[in-house]
Amino acid sequence: MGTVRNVAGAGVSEVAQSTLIFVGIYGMLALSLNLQYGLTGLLNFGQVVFFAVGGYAVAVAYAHHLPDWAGIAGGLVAGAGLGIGMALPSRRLAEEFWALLSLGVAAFFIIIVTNVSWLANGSLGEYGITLWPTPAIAIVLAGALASLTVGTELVRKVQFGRVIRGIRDDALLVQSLGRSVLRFRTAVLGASGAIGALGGIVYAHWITYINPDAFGLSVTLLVFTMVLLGGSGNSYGVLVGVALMQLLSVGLQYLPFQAVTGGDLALLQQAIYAIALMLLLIFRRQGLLPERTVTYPRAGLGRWVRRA
Amino acid sequence: MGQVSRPQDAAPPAATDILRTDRLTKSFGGVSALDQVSISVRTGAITGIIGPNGSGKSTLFDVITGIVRRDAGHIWFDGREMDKPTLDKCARHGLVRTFQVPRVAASMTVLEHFMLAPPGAPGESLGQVVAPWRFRRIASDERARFAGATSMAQTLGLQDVANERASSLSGGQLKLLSVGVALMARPRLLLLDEPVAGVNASMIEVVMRLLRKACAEGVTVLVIEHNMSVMWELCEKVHVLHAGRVIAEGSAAEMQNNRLVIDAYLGRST
Amino acid sequence: MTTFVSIVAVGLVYAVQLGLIALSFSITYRAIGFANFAHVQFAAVGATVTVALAYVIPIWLSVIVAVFAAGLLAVGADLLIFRRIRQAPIGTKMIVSAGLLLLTQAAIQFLWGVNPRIYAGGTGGITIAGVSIGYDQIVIVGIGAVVFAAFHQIMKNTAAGRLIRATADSPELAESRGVNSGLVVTQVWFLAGALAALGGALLGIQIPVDPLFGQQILIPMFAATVLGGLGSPMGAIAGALVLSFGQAALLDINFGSFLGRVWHVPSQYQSVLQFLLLIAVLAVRPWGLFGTSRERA
Repeated sequence: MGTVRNVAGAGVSEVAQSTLIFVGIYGMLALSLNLQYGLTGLLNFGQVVFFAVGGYAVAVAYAHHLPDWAGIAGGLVAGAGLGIGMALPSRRLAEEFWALLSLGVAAFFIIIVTNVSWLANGSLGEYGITLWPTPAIAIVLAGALASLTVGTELVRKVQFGRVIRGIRDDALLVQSLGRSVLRFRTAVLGASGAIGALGGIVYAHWITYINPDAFGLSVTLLVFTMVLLGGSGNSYGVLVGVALMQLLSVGLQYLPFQAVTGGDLALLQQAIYAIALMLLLIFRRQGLLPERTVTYPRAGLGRWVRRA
Repeated sequence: MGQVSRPQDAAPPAATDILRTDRLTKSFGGVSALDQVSISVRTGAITGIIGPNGSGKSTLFDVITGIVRRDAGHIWFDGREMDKPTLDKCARHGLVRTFQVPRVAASMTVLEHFMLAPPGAPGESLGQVVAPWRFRRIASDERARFAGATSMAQTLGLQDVANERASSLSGGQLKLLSVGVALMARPRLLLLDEPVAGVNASMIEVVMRLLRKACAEGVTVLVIEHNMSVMWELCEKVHVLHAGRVIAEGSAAEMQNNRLVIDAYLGRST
Repeated sequence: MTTFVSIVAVGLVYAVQLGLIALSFSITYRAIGFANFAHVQFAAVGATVTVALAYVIPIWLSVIVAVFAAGLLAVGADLLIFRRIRQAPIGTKMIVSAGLLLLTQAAIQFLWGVNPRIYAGGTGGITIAGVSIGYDQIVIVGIGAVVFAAFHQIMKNTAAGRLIRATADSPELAESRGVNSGLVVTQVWFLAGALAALGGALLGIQIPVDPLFGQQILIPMFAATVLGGLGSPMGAIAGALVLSFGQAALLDINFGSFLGRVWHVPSQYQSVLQFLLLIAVLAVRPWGLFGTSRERA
């Protein structure tokens, strides 16, 4: 379709533009998962559900002729609400049970939207959602990513970040210091839910159609791979992970793999992502940019903290 | 090593007890871990619990703080009966404990631990953290925490590893870290589980001094230890546990020469 | 009476199919200490290999081949992957198993294509109280009864069974008594893979089989094993029975009868029911019927 102008005014090809936008969208999902898993130790195997909630809020609003802002607001509120809801069982459930529950929640959501057709057309999906202009999407994504990344790194270093990292490393210790683990998990999941939903909302306005197939377990696994590749616990690392995986995804389209495999590129991608994930966890769990130890005094915090 | 005056050997008058348990019982699958354990801890004093391995000392702490649910018996903390204690609720009321195997956050540094411990931060609500108009309050809170943390690190001789992750500390350093963390949590009653096990001699002196200082400032201490010389020096009163039962209690001097106690440690009693 | 027989028939069949998969999952859970998502793929291998081979060799032979192949794959998964992460935290192990799940699913899709296939070797049957019951259903229940009984017998009353249980509960202790725990673990994996494949094969001759077969079994398998108690093999069987009969009964009920109409829960909502059972168990009694409660930090 020819060249399209991005925000900076230089001409870039459509592929690069699409790649960047997906980096932005996946970046939201990855930062959301990093907050839950990387910083708080929450094994959310249903991460994709926040993405789906955002996308489907927009789709449902569109299907029922509601104003656009209703879909956006609804998506953010639903994402946060779902996250808060998922936090409650974490008090009684051991780690792995909660992980199973989160998986179930995601599967459950997809079953509902697939079978309850009046919501958003069931398995056929909802087409024709408003396409947002590229500059608008770019601004929203860039702004959100920048503030979330910087924000997360700041939060990590103050008391809230210490408590949630404490919960990740030893929840009993944090409890023995009088903090309510449930309260902090709720805050993290609520925020992460809204962030993931924002990713879904932007996705809906870029792709302009929403159907259940886009929200399977493979998306959750892909996001885990991005987080672990870049560096679990390090927001900058996570963004690097997202960018690398997107480049890989695009790169695979240009390499002559299709001649070798004779077919489905998506399948090959899935296999490669899965292998990458397993190799990462076996050989380099900390990723490319490991989480940085918070040391004092720090140049960045010089304004805040008196030098020892 | 200066001589610090020993607490009186005479039994203290009946004073307010900050902690009292009445016939606490707990068994795990048929094995009795606590059998009608009744102890009392005088406010503002250092009380000890000793006993051979497996006598139920750590279980007592677990039951008091609600990590393990008791089968029978009562617990009073600060005059109020604790029906269903939980670890965080206890800590919020000033009942702070350490663990026999020190619990630490592996990825956090010594300083971060000491900064984490004190309660009541304005920056502990996500809403407050992301609100820019709150930044100055949070910054001043961080400054105060940092000052307290460096001071504690200095006191415990951990200043050289202050910025090291807990995962790279030695066993003795971890013990010191967990004692420091508990002290920084502004406790009213401190339950210490073997605070000086594996700690070198000079640091043991430091810890004892710290505990006496805390005591002087109003903190009550209940300490489990195997290090007898520390116990005799530190504690006003000692309870002796054996096979889940309190077999003796009294002043340090009395316990040192108690037949039952000696037999229990030498494995002669049933 | 017709309803009763119909529910019993459907319930027993699915209980065997799911029970084999749930039982084998419980065995590995006890041995490796975490929930291995990829376990459903042993069942998927069982189903796909069986149905694929059934075109060229008799069905009973293709089941045996499939079961054996899955056993070997299970051993391979342990040696290549799970042994390397034995010391890793639970979360890591679970993520790795999820990765393995998707990798094997991609492999299956590559070999199988996307289209579901159904085994068309329908046999005749008998009729009880007006309900027609196929010979295949009878065979499935028969196989299930035999296998469960044999398993119970082996685990409880033979030296090999006790050895497996001891090693599963404490590999270090077993090693100190001279047991080659590595070899025992390998055998446990083979057994688990084989049993799961048998369940998958028995299921695969009744329903359409496609590459998503494994993922579709995830929720029912978890619901059954969590209900029975995660580390308890007999609990898994019990959980499968309860789930299967409950489901059969619930799907059979005519909820519209109050209004003089006919309304049954649509069969696609089967997974909804299973999920609701899963959350109900997790909410009320996470350690299930036969598990031991773990106090949560």
